[in-house]
Amino acid sequence: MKTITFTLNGRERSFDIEPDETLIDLLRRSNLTGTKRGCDTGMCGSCAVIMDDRAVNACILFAFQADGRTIETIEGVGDFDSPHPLQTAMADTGAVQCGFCTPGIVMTANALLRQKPDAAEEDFNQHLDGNLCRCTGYVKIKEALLSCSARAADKGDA
Amino acid sequence: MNYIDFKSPTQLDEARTLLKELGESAMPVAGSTLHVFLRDESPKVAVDIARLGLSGIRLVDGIFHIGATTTVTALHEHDQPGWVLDRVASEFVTQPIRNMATIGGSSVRVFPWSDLPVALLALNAAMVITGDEERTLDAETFFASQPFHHFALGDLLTSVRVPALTAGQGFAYLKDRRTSTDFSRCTVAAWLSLEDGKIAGVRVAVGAAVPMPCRMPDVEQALMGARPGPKKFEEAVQAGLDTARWKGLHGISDEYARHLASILIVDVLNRAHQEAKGE
Repeated sequence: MKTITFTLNGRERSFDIEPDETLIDLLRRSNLTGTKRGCDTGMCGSCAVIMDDRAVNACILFAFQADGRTIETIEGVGDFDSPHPLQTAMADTGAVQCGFCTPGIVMTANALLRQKPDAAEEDFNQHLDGNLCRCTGYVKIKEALLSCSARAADKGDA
Repeated sequence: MNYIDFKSPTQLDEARTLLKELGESAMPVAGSTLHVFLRDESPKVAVDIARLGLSGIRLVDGIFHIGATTTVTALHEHDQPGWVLDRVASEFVTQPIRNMATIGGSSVRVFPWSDLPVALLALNAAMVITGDEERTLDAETFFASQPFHHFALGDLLTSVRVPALTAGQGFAYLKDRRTSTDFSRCTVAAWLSLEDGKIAGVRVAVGAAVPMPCRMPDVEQALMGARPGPKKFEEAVQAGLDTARWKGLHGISDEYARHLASILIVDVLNRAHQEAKGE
């Protein structure tokens, strides 16, 4: 066991970790179970978290790589009582069916909107190419995410 | 990977000393996107090289110096005259992987689907290895076999140098896969230089449909000094295809891989030609 320290959802936290422990294992054993384990190969995006303002796959990132960094999970974004606008949009649009992929989609879209608040449809297409949803046809998801873009606000459709 | 310990050096010398001391049990880690494909279960010590200050892109005398731990996202977002690796980075699997994967990791261990080696071959990149002495290998030498074979204990790839595209030059990269995130079935890149309307320099590289990314010397030879155009490109490609050993991946036959490559090579040559003409 070795100790690492990083900022997790705005608070500095220290954890004792095994050298081969992935970030998703660390998060889930720390009761942050909103981050979902899907493919374990970095291809489905259900484990997406934000590290230093960029979406990354927690299933292939080793916990030691988070040492000294800033990590944000879905729990830091919003909750049932005070959801993030992206979460509200996903619910209002009917973009959620089984909900397993939703945290990863919200985290990836959140990272994009920080980089590019006026993200357009092609930006979402490119940035969410690593988020698989097996329930929907992505149409409602895209509709929800686009409604959160400043571009939509400019057009008055948000 | 079976990591039994990890080290997080912050200086290049410190990292190199660790790699030397740990010997075969050391595993440099930057983006960590490739470990799921490695079958080595022997005990390893991870040496995190992402904190060594080896990331960033600088233009020096017409050559882009790209730090080895520069992420693929940084390659994608870089915007400067003569910069073309954004075209390759945009084709690189998914956004979270682009955010994690580095140019160094994607170059040191080559998989059939690797995007960057094919482009680096066509762009005549130079690969800088820092060991007890710094040495530079041209991309063709570096990618002639699995690149990690070039490394002695304590060696690290520290930089990749790519000439900036100038007037009269063109570059194109294409990748065939079934879906946007699927493994490549064929990747091709072409760099072309024009002088007085004739081809003064050309490099064509292929990947995925061959065992290791490689140049296509017979195609290049057939084009040197020629007047470029779709018909000439098709002739040169047909004349030079047998240089490579074609290997079909993901459900396609070797013969189809060869056919696919022939179409894609003509396509990248046409695109590179258009750019070289300034169109």
